[in-house]
Amino acid sequence: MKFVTLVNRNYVIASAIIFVIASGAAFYILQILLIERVKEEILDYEQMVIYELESGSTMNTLYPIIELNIVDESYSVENSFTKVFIEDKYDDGEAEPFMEFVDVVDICGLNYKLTIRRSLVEYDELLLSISILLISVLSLVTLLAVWINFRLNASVWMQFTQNLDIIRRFSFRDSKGIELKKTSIHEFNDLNNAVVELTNKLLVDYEAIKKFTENASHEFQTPIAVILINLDEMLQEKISPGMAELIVSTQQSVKRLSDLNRNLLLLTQIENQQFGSIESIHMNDLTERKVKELEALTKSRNIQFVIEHSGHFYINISSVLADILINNLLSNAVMHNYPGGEVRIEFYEGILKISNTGEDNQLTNATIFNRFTKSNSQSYGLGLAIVKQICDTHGIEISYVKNNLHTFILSRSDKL
Amino acid sequence: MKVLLVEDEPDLRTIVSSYLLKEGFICEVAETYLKALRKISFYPYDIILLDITLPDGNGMDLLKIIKGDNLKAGIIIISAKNSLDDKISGLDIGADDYITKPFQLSELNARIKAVLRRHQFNGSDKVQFNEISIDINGKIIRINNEPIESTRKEFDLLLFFILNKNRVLTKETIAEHLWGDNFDLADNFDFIYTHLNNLRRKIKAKGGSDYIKNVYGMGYKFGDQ
Repeated sequence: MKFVTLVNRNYVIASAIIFVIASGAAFYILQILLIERVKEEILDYEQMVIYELESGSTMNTLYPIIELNIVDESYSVENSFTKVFIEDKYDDGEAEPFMEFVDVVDICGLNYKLTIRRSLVEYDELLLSISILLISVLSLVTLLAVWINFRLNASVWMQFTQNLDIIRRFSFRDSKGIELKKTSIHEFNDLNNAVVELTNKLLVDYEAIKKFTENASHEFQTPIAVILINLDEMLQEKISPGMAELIVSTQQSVKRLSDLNRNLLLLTQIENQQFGSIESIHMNDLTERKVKELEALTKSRNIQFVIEHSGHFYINISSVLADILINNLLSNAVMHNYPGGEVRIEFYEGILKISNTGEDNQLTNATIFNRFTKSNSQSYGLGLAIVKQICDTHGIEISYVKNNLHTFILSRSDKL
Repeated sequence: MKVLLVEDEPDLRTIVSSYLLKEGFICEVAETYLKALRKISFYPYDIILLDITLPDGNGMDLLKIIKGDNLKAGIIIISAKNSLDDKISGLDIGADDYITKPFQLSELNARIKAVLRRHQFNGSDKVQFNEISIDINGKIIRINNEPIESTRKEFDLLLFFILNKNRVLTKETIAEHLWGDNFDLADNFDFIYTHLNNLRRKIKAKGGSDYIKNVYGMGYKFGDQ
């Protein structure tokens, strides 16, 4: 869950709870206050009635506001307030709430039972009005607070997500340090500084590794060149056939070592995108040309090439890498073929399919592109790794399917 | 023919220069950028073999100076980095060819001869070996002055043999010369055999001798010894 969502959700829940409790409490307190008010009024009224009676006035019963009954001296009543419902005779006969107070007073030797009632209808209405007002104000304040909180959170985290985007887009290939936007929040700035420091350190290491790979490869090639040339010079001398065989096989092994070294360097170079001048290459034409070259080399094994063009396949790539891509795919299709086999190349709009006949292998789409994965000892296990690397860095998806044919499918993924 | 070899690796310098001497070149060496610069400014050379990575400078800068001074020398870059950018920019600046370590001397020889041809004879350049004559610009092989039909690969193959006569050439060396190392198809050298046989047949048909000898276990050798 997003931090902002979590914070906002909790804030909304807390606000809702506080809102309910606050409005409940307000309602309850208000009600108590109003009832007290009514009781006070009733007591005031009783004093007034008693005073009038004592001064000799005659008081009439006015139901339900006041009732005067003369009762025996023995009559006693617990003077208390009760809430009663009385039918309104003058209105539509509905029961309305009243606060009733019963008291027995002795005025001029007469025992009066005094019943005073006050209608609670207007107080209920008042309570309702005040409650509505109160709740409206409360809910408005709560909503405003939630909204402000949302906006604040969003603006604070915006600075964070902007920098996160910059970090996501960062690539070592640009070989310059990361630049993050300064935020108004101290903690975010701390994080930014840590990220900048970390990437700068990594950048230095990365450059060092890159340099090392290049230098190592360079340093390897010269001694390898010396070995190969010396071996070749030895072949020019008068030597026994046995010695010649040894020299040739040594030469082949050294050549393998050299190729391996070169291919590893190539992989690094592709990874580092050290191939400039990207152009839109029409793979159909390129493949036609490459197949013609290959046909001459594979004549003795009688491998048939079939090319079908049902659409165009363009890649934005440097011409050098396009060459390597097709060479490696075709070499692979030929190398793992059997004499008299077939290589079928199909072009669709934005799709290239290369299938070949060949022995079954244990390789799957998940493993076939790994470095040093090979099904026979003649290959280096780097050709397809290079193909994959080229595809990965040029927005091409590649997959390997095995049914009775071995098929590689390349398609534009248009995401890099 | 005067060659300047700019190379910092002593072993490689010795082998290449002694080979070039054997091939009839006058070969001088320079092991650093500064020494090379001095030699270039004092003496004329027909060919400069230029290593890109030198201890005290970059061969590319040397190349720019040579081209800036309008020197007539043909230039072949020798690089240990198979960096294609280097190759492209080197050729852009004006190098005539680019060869990557490791290379075979026979390949270097063929490249030097090709550059020399381009620089010195503008037109009729012929290579002669007994009854075989090769018109390099016209891409025509003649046996006793009679042209034979040959494919491009057969032509390249024969030229490579004649340029490296009396030298054992392994199948790998020949294959790399003819096809480059574009294809990882090292298991299959039959195609060389097919081309060779066709070539032998065509030469024989015009009354030429078979100078291409199989050297058991190694490869082939062209020559009349």
